[in-house]
Amino acid sequence: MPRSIRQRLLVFILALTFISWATIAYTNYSDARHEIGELFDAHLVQSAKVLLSLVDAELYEEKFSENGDNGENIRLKEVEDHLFKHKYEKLLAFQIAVKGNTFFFSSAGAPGQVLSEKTSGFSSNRIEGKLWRVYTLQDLPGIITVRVAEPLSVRNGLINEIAFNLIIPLLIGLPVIFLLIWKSVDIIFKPLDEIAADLQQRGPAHLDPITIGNVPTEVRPLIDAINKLFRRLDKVLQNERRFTADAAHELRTPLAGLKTQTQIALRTRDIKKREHALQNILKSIDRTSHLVDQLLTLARLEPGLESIHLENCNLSRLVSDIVDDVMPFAAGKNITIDFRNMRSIQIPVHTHAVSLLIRNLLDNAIRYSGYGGHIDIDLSEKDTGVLLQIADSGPGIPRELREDVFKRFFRANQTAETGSGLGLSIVKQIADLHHARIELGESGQHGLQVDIFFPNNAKSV
Amino acid sequence: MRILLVEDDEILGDGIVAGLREFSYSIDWIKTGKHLHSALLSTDYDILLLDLNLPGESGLNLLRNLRNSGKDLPVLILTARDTVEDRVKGLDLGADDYLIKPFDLDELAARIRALIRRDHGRTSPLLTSGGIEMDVARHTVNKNGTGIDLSAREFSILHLLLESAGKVMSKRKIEDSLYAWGEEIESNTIEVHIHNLRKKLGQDTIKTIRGVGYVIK
Repeated sequence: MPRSIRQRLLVFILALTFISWATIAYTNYSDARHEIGELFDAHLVQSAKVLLSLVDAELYEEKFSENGDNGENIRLKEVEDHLFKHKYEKLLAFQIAVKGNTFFFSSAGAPGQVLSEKTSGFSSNRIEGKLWRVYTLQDLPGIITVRVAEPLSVRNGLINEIAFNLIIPLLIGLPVIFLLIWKSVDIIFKPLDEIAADLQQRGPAHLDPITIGNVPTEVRPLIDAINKLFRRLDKVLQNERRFTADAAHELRTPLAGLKTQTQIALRTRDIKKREHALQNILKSIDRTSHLVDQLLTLARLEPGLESIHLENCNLSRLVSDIVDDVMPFAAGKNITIDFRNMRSIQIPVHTHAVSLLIRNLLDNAIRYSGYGGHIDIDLSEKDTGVLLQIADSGPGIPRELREDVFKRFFRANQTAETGSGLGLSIVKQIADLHHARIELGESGQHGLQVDIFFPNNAKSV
Repeated sequence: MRILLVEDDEILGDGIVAGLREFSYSIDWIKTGKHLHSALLSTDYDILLLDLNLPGESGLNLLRNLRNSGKDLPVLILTARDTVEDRVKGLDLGADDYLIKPFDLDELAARIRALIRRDHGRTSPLLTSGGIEMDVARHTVNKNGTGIDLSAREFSILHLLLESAGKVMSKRKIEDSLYAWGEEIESNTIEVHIHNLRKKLGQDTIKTIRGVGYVIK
């Protein structure tokens, strides 16, 4: 099957037209053939009957008034004369035989030999290279035999003419249909060609929706889908652009710090000042590395996780592992971490992403809890999902800022602690990927409490 | 000259403070905009260095509020945002200059000098009065063509007096512009510095207005 719609349409429609027309034409042709045959045959029968009654009447008219064989012969002669006077259709031939072949008369168009050996009914015979349709009729005593014949070419000529008339419309019609299909395909596809031209001249960032115009209804879903894809791409692209710009700007501040501190280290003669500057450079490099890590994490999370598969993960084990990891940092600030409910809770998650989420939340809790603070972690199984709660004893986040903190590079706390401003963006991103709900509230210790609820039916990431 | 820095990044802030001290500026550093207003009320700063991206608030808002409350000290914006839009917005809101991170300490110092010069209505980078010539950028002082060595504090006091030549500077004002918060000052420090300056530049260069302060004509 050809790939082109135009070719498919042409093949389909032309084949269908041809088949349906051929069926109709053949039926018409055989009907006509049958009817014409019957008509012509009827004509032969009629002629034979007329001829027989004519000969019969001529022969016996005076048979009873005048006896003798001689009279009969005279009568037959008269029949012959009479017949010559009749103007019969040239195409019709007949033969009359009386008493075997004692009298034999053949019409002008008829061949010399006997048209048919049959004594009655129809027959088709080839005589002197010509096909004849013959009807034979005998009178009751079997004395007179009349044979009426007509060359088959007469009726065949008519039938052929009818057949020809049936073929004519097809011969004209098929090319017309061909041209119409050719043209209409052009017309139908013109809007698509326009769309193709529009798309062709677009740059990679030109993602305006395609104007639908007079696109065929059948193509609308495709255009709608493309437009929908464009909208999504546009959003991703804008996000990406903003993210890159934000990231670059965010890196400028630590770079400025590094530059300033380096200049001081280079120009000061005071060893203490130089050492202080170098320490600051080291600290800044560590922080900038952390910022870069967070940026990479976010960039990797951005589009890619849609296709990841979830694996069953023991969430309580994961939380305790991460608590172990961060313990040294907490201990450094004399912060205690309390993780209740060690019962095994299995849920399908992307383990690495969720461990990043928990790690970021715990890092924040430790960063803001202050010396001697306390962090409570609670993991519990609800009817509809699993709830993870992390509460700290830090300054908390004012209600009016609880929406903004998920924005990238937004830093709510005006404390000496400087984070990357990306931690909660990462948390939100991962929560969204798992269709998990995230809520910020006030903990019992007037710090921040983060509730993350993983619903049971979130398997379809 | 006394400078106020608003910058939330610890390492950059520390660097700016240390760097500008090398240029004999006394500099106070606050990390959020929260205390900006009270800082400006308590001390007479010569210039404000303002970071735009502060946690929880916009430096541009701080600037708008500052100008609305009638403060007209020179403001130099430090920012990571470099689009024309950002710059125009900052300048329209009343900033006097704009420096994009990361910047060079020398450029920062040069822009501070230029802003202070402009604030005092000067166009020449040289401060001159009665045969004394000060090149702030080069940190040099000449008296009638011969170079004179001054300590950092002496230079700062002379700079202040020359910058406001003809105007009497109170002892308090001189102290304020010389010492940042937390620096200990002996009560007669200024007198000692003035005494030394007079020794180096000539007794009649700096006049004492009794009960008011000091002045260079």
